[in-house]
Amino acid sequence: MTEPMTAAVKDTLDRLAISGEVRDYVQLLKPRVMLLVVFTGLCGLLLAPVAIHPFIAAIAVFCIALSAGGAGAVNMVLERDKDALMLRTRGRPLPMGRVAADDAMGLGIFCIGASTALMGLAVNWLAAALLAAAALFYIFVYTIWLKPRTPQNIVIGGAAGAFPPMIGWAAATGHLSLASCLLFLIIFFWTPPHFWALSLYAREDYARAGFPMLPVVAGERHTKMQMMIYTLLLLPLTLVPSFIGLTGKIYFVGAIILNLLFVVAALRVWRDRDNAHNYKSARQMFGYSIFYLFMIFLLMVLDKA
Amino acid sequence: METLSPEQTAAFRAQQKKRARVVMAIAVAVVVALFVLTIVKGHLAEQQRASQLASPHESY
Repeated sequence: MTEPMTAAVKDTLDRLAISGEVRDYVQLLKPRVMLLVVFTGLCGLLLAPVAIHPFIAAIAVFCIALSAGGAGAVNMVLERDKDALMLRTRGRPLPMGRVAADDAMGLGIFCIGASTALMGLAVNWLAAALLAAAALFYIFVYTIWLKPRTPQNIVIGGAAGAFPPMIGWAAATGHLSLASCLLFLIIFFWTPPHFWALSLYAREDYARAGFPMLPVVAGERHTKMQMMIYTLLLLPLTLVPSFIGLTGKIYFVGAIILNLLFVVAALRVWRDRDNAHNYKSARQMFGYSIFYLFMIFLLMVLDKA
Repeated sequence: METLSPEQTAAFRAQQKKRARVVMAIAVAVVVALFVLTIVKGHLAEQQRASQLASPHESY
């Protein structure tokens, strides 16, 4: 009687261990970031003036997701020692020792290589080149070069996250245009206020790990001022799609409202001198910034001229 | 500053977690909807191309 029970328990434990392992590998691919990347990539595909075969479009989206996941995995390998020092990241699979660094690196490189090759062979080589450029920029320029060295890390490094709509556009059309560069610029200018809101309330975490984030190096006041500048710059930039005929009036009105709310969020962060309620205003701005980008791109797709 | 009891903290975290799940579910649904839209748009474009190829004299 004991023998089969033990075997059943062992079997259950083995299955649990496997499901745990799968969850860890999924976590390595940063699924939340992947979701935003896929979303903006899809928007690029949909905003492009031509539509491609549905199967090719599905492959393009799959490649964008796979490449973003691969870059995320390599980033986690390279930052595993610092991740272990930060409260926000110490539960990740690598600092916890649930996945070996070599395995994670292998997974990351495979995902980037396979997605680039598939995009090139099945879609087009411009989209593949942009896909590879985004992943390599994220790994070498942002993670290795800029992030540990300069408080402007996320300003320049933010370009990596701005590639997906351009990739989607290139996948559909085979070339780049002013409109696709505009989509890139919107994410590029959105990244600093988004990320600095996070680094304001995670300032101590970043300081502990030795990352020279702007609030750590230049102080909170300066960071809040920079956030305000980038938020104000976004206002005219996000209205340009309507002026170049990419979107219509509904987007124009929606973008104005979304931008005004973003400015209000930045103002609340600016006025919150005592950082009351554990940086509540910065947390709210971080949450709103994600909603803002989501809505800006969704409105563009829904009101495509 | 007001300090929450361990029970209040646990309840607050559970509420936050539930809210985050709802937001994530909405985000996933939007992305899936856009994906379907991309596929349908591509399918319609393919149909249009096929019909144009089938009736080449229409362009005259």
